[in-house]
Amino acid sequence: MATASNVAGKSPAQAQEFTRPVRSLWSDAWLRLRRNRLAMASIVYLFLLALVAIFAPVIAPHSPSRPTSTELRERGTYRQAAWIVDEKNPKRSGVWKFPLGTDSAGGDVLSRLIYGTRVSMVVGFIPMIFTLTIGITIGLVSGFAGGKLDSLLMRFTDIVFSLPDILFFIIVQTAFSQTAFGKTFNGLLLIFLSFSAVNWASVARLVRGQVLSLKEKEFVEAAEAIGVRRGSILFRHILPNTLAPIIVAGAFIVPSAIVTEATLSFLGIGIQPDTNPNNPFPTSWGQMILEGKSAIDSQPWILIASAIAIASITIAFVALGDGLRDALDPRQ
Amino acid sequence: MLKRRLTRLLALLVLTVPTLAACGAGDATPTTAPAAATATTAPATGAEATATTAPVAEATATTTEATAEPAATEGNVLRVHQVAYPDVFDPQKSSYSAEIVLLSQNYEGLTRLNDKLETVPGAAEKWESNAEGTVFTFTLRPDLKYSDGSALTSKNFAYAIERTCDPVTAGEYQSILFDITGCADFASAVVTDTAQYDAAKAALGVSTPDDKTIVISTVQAAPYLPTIAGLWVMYPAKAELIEKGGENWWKDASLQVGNGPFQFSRIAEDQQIDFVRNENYWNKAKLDGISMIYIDDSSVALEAYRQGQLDIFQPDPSQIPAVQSDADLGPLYISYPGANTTGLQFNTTTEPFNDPKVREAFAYAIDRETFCEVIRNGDCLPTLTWIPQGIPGYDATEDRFAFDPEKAKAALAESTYGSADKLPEITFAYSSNDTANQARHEFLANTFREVLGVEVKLQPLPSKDLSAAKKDNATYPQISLGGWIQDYPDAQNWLSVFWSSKATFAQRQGYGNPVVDEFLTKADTSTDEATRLEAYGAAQKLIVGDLPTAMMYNRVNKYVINPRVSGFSQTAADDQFPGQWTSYSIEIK
Amino acid sequence: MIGFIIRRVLAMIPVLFLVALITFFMMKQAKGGPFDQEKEVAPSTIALLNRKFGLDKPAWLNSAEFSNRLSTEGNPFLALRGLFDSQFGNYLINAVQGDLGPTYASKGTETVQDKIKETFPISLRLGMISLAFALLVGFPLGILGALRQNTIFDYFSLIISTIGFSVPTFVTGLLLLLVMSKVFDVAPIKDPSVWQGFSTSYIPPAIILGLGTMAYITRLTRSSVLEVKRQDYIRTARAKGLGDRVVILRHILRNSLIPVITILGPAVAGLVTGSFIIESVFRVPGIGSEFIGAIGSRDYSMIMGSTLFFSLLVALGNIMVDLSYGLIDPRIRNS
Repeated sequence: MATASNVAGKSPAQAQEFTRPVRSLWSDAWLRLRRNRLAMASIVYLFLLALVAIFAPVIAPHSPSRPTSTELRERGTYRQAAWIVDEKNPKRSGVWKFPLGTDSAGGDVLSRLIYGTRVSMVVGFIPMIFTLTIGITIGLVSGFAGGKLDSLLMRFTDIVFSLPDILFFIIVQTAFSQTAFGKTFNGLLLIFLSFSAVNWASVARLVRGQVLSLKEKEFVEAAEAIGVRRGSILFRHILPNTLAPIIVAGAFIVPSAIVTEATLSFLGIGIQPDTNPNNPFPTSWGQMILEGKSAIDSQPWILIASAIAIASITIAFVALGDGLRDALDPRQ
Repeated sequence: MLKRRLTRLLALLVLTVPTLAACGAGDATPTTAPAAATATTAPATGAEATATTAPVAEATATTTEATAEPAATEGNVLRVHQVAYPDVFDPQKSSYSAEIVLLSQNYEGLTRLNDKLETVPGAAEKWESNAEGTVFTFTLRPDLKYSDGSALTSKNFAYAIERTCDPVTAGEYQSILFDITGCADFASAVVTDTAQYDAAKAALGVSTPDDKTIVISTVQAAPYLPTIAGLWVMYPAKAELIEKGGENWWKDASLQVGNGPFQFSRIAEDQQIDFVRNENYWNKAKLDGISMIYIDDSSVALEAYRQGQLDIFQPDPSQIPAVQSDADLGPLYISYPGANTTGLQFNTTTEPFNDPKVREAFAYAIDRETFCEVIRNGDCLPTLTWIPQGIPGYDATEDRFAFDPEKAKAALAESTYGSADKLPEITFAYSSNDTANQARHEFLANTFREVLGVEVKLQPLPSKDLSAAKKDNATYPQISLGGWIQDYPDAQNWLSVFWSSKATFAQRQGYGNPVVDEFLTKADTSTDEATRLEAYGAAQKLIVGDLPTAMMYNRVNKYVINPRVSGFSQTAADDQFPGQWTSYSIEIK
Repeated sequence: MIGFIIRRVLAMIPVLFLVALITFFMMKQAKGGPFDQEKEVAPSTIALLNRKFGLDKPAWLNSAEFSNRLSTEGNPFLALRGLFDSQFGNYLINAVQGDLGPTYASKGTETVQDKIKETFPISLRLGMISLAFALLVGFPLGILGALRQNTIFDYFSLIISTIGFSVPTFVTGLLLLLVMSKVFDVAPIKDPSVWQGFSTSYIPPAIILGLGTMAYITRLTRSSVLEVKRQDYIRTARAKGLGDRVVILRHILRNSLIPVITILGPAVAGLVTGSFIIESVFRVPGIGSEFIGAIGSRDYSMIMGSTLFFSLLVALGNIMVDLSYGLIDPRIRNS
């Protein structure tokens, strides 16, 4: 695991003795990250996806909701992607008006794909924040307090860590998806919470490990020696030094959360449908994969497009995570 | 490094629960067995090779054996695609159509259905009833034998009735025999109270004066009893074999000794079930055997058909466009109306659907043609009446409540609410087990918004939850799709079993109409066929007009059939394969 | 060391208890019982089925039975058994004895442990093959990447491992299936007996299943080899004039294997339990398919049983990691 402490622990006064210009860990890391082409490409791609998610209503050629009778008859269901011609059935022949064709209820696949970006973005970042918050708090407290509290918290963490997570998610979804709470925010809230409820454990272990090793470091001893208060030591000296590994961990939580949502939606127990045309989250890529799987013979592009979308966003996040880890770990 | 367990621990839940033979929710296609199913091309003639743990060598041996099998034998076995592997195929315990199709090959009741779904002699060559229609005497064919050569007597049929009514059996179709004297009492007897149990068993209205005769008495006139006598609960599985095999007897092909046109020869769980021709059957079948091949993934099944591994393939509605556009498969695709009806079911006791005008508005707002043709890809045919085409009692003249946006708006305006914005919140429940349901219900919700300006909230529920909610009028969804799948082709099964105010189904929707009840009682107990049909017709008109359900469609039976298969009849009740009720006449060229 | 193992095994008990508790609680939350069907089932039938499965007892604690026994026997310790004569209590008591109860789907004709015995070997075989794949491909790929850092080999191994690591298996599985059927025309129907021994049918699902682990092993090997390459003793070895082969084989590989070995325990558990989606996509009749089926049909005993079984596997996997750390690193062993 990355230990950036020895670099970040230097005081500005020490750094000035070097002949190199002053550089913090962060600007150093940024420089290294910029040299990593894969990570930079990922950042650009993810930035574009973020734009797509925010400006979905502007970019999408059609409304993501399914059409009503009149419009449906014109659109047709399972219309093929634009470049595929179906001579026997003109209603299914591809047209550029619907570049990736239409789905089982006449929805425009491209528009739904564009709106699906929103769910992936939200579902990646919000659980990451929840997970990190719980994990950092418990890890810091446990590591810094030590003693009985530490062993109690760690036993608890161990138990959570041993839960088979996907089984847990499936059971939680089956039990609570029909309650009012389970329906909040199209069921996204339940996914966020169940994800965070399991995944904080590894963050807590990580942070605790960092705190334990930092507690022994000279600069903490020095701070203690000059009478800095414990709270101040925790927040001004220890927490900043654990940031690098936490950022790396966070970068890997995002794709993991995206995959969880996609999996649950693919299982039909993820986000819940809503016909309100003003709903900002009309569908998710996982749901599209589920639909695409059953439509694989009539309209393969529902599956292909959504599978590529999921694959590319997770690859980008993992590549970014790798890049961040390399950049923040000065030994490499 | 964060532990990346997530990407590895994933699961698939595209499962739906198989529909009941009767009364399945119309929006749930009878699909997808829970367990994965692959199947083999090995012909049915093989010995009883249940899939046990076999080393690699044996596995390969089986494959070579399959290819080495004489071509002639293979050519005469009908390979039928089945979607869901059945839970239980014990005649007195089964309830799903995927189970019944198996039993109906292996066994035969006193009567059977012909290719027009008429009740004709089966194991019994004739029957007669007393003038009141309360005592039925069936005479068996001479020299009836089971497939193993043992004699089949009236005692075997009496045992079937007794076992169905027995509270220990507790089969889900127990109540279908409650017309038989003493059956309902026996079924509710306390098992632990031996005296009461034995007395109830003895009081059952079934007697066998000799080996060829069975007399069944009913609590009231039941002119449809001969039809019921052909149902799966009446199949004469052998008592001694059931006792020998215990609870799991039905899983062992050697214990399922039958009297039907075919005989179970191999049961490979979740994969394949093979039948061979029963040489002792009175109307010898033309095929050498039938193989039921279980593939829950319809794409795989399509591929298997293309590669010649199946003779009959059941496409999923999502595959119909691909099949129809396909140069090879398109011409081989057939579809015809099935014996089921689905409609928009209202809870007539909750707001706003306790107001008939609101129900009327919703009934007029449904564009059934677009729904069937575009959303369901021709998987169904629009209907405005209850009993489907091809079933006695079908009403071809019904034309009320056809799609009409103007009338829909007008009806809503005439309702006590006056306009859409004054309606309370409406939720539209559906089973989330079938992936396709979401798109279908989104379409309907969109239509209600467009036509009526009503915002309907969709509520996907796991099918078990939906069934549980539909059990009680208090929790019955405001609106949901649902209907009836026929048990037996008699208007009584469609009307009295469902819509009589004493019927649980009508009670759940909060429906009851004394005038309807009067007509139904008259029809159920009359022995004159014309009088019966007339009274049923009147009752049906009233029910459709009362709108406890806005009738929508009949799902079709749809198959891709290899041109080498011939001699199959097409009936509305073919929900597993074409000609399933008269499989003895199917041929392979 | 033995004390360590005993402590770890004992620590599994609260985990498994918690899993059972959570699963049971959640299943009680869900509406709809195992016998709910749309067709009306006679109340006597339902009552009979409920009695047969012990569902007529209270869910958690049977206080009525407790006071009943207390009054008849008077011994509060013996009466305690009455308190736990509940659905949950009986379940736990039977589960400890290896009896996970009858499955509901079979209407009580089959037990959960029978189902597990029948389907688990298939999942285990699938898991073993995919682990073999993950090791045989992942390890060389990682070494190659590290030894030829920043060359085309390195990029290739990086790309493969990034894809394997990030793309969900159901996506790769579905895409492979699409390619297999549309491009290569692979026969989909297999003889049922192919799953009963090792056969080629296992290969496509095993590759997809092993992709994640393979990628993980590649990444781990690569960074581990890079780490070892920088160590002083490698420099020493080279300074001594040892050839490339010797340095790589005797010094680098041997030392960089260690961290890889430590992940094998959880990898096995992960592969075996993680196979449900793959089993369903490729229609392998293993325990994963069974579990998914049970969720849909609300087969409580099957859900409880397989969840406990999976948890046990995961817990054992975790113990194996700790053990292997202990074996390798004396500092941990002695702590």
